[in-house]
Amino acid sequence: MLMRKGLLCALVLAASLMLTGCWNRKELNELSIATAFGFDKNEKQYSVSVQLINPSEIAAAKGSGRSPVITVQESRGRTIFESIRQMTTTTPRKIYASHLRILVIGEDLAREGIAKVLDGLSRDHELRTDFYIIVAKKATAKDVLRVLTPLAKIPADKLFSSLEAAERNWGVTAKIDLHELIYDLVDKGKDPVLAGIHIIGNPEHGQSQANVRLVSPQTVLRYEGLAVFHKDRLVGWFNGEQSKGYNYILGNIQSTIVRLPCQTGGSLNIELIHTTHKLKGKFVNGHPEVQVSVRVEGNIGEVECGMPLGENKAIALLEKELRDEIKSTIVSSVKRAKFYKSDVFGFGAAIHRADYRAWNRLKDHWDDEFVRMPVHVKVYAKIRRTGSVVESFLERMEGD
Amino acid sequence: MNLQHNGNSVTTEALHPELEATLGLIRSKLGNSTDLVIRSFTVITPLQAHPAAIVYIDGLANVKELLESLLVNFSDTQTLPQLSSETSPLHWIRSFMLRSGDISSLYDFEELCQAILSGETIVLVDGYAEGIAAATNEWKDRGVTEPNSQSVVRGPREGFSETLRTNTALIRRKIKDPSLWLETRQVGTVTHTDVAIMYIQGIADEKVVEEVRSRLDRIDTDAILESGYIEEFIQDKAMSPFPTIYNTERPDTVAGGLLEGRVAILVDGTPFVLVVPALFTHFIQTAEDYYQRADIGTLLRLLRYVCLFIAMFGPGAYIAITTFHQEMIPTQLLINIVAQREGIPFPAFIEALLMEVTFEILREAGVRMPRTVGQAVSIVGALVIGQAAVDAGLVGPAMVIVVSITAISNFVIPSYNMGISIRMIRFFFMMLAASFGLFGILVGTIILVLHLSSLQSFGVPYLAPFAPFIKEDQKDNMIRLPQWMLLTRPHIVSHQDRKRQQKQPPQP
Repeated sequence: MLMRKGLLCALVLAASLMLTGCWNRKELNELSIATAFGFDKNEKQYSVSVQLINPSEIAAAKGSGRSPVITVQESRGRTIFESIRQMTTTTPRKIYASHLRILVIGEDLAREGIAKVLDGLSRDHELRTDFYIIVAKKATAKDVLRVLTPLAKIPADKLFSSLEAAERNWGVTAKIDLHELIYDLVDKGKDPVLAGIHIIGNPEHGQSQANVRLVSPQTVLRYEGLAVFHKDRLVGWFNGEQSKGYNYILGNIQSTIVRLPCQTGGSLNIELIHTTHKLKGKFVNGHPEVQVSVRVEGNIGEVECGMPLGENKAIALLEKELRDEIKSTIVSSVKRAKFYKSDVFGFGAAIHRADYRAWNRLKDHWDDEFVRMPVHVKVYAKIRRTGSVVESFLERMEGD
Repeated sequence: MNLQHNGNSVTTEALHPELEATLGLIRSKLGNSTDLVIRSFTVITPLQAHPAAIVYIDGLANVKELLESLLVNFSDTQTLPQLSSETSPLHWIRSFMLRSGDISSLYDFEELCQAILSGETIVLVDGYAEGIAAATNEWKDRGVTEPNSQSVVRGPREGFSETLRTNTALIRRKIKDPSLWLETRQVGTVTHTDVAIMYIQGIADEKVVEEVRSRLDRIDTDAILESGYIEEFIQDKAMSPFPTIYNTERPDTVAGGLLEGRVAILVDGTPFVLVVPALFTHFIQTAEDYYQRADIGTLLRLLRYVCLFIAMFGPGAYIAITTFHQEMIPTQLLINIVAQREGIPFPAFIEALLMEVTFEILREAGVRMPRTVGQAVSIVGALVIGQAAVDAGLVGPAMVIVVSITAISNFVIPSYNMGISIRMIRFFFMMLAASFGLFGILVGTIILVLHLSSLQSFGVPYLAPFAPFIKEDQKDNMIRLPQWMLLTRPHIVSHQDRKRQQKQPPQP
């Protein structure tokens, strides 16, 4: 009886040996943790840069401060996967990419097409797909990875958290992870966008430890606009305003600031606290049209001019101005996208939802259709609060 | 005295009527042991005088009162009962002289020796093949002190001692009911240890009581020195790390068990009383759960379950996650752990094993060392599993934390023997984790649960009331409902007389 049970247990254990999926034991000190990948292309070859962390420098209260907290290794090859594996010839340990925070794509590669380099990433079981993908604006990915950043010890961490913060509080960038990007790539009715990163200052100086020793570093990384793709090729850039328009349409704005001009000069800032959006496709006389409705609520954040804010009339006026401002932002964004012939807003998908038979007819020449298509924009704006004061003290100053 | 006749002691031999012959026989039987006391005297009855003797073991019996009553001066006595000439002096002694409570007659030599050795005093009279045994048992007792192994903040502080009679009395004092029954038998062919079964007739399952009787009767050994001997002889499954018999030093715990329909086995010479049937959940409960308010009791029980899991899986999970599933650790934490592990020469498993074994050594040393040097252990211990080990580059600080929390969690488990089981299983899980990762831990857990559910304690499934799931018994399992809601006894332990009380919510 006992024998049989023991045998059974042994059998179960032995069988489990064959079932193991992630059968790769690795001690922590045999790993190089990669926090960022950068993909570039020059001529025929891909070049992969990896930002590896130097754990003994980075750990809390342990670093000596003498050597940099990260190291960027580069290797070239005909394919991405090949290049990554080739890197073991320069790094002491195997590269461990599960904790990847950010993937930077160089502008040159982005213009040539990014689809091919993404397959390997989506296939690898070791990667978590929660990293964001960004495009280096007028720079190579390698240069972006090499910039040391203040405050956040790991530059990839800075890129990651500042992207999240910028999207949440300012609304001019977009955090796109691998799944979303691939989803956009395969969807005929939507073209992808990616956040753009720009190196300000001299890239060579950015990689020296001296950069972060300065009170205001000479070389910094800044998110700038959105990279607009058509299919998988980069075709152009949205500036900040157009990026905001994009986010209004997609409903990505959580909070942002809208600046309105005062009649008496100066300006007045509205902080948006809540937005909802609606995107509806329809056919009018056999031609596609979309209706974008955006509903925003905001508070008055800053007033530079004397205005009787206590009166309903003034608030109504402001609401109208806010409406017009947001509408013009959206329109400029749509206009730009039409210029690039890139349906980044997913209007095609909205048409698809509205009438899939008609969409099947349209989808092969959607680019042209998109450019011709009328886009109706409707904005509803409401101002809720004026902050902790009603009228600005500027009013009283001017009164004297 | 109810004697247990075990195979080799059946050569019953009637007592010799001649006093000197009997005394000689006793002397030679006990090898002229120096603590054997034989005091000869003369029994004076109104009719005649008889040579007589009392026999006892010095230190086991208190004969002061007995002697006073036997060596009475009859000239003072005015009112003598009328006697016929046939009245034997033994009858006279029994009826008029001995003031002891518990008196019995002996006719057999073997019985006589037993009685002497258990502290009784024998009165023998010349010319009669009969002895009178008076219960004069009295020896030095440790007294009722606070139990060391299971202490409480609130609750009775008395604990069992080494004397069986004291222990039964402690239980009787808690349950003053005629249906609290007590059976005694002697186990051990050399030690003749008194073993008592205590249960509440009408509440305890008759089948369990019968099973306990038969298992005790099956024991054929020369010595029972502690209830642990009995436990090993009568437990359901020998090959299991888990205890299927509960032991306690606390009379209130035993009383609680009896009231749930369980059976207590008391062994003379040890303060540890066995309670059967024992379920897994009993080892996680304490007496204090019932003395504190229900919410506190519930919270503490849940905390103990959490600790149980930490104690079992702590190091295993750490090994598995850091060597197989690094992607599960938050990035910043991973970086910190990696930084700590820079320069540590061993794999995580060896590192953990090193620390765990060190800790086990320290703990064992702490238990065995004389109390006066106990402090030395804690000083050395703090060095070995502490900053010094980290500074020496042997282990990482994270491992020290894991080992420490595991150790502390293990102490939370109220039952010492269950704690040891968990300690053993922890190493099993560490090995599985080191070779198969979380997958191994999962497979190990499945095997563990299978094993646990195959166990029984005196016919009761060990995992009850989890498996089989008994809804009614959940009121006092992982949680404890308020006293006025505990309406029935546990269903799984006993099927008789389930009702405890009417529902009576407290009213202002």
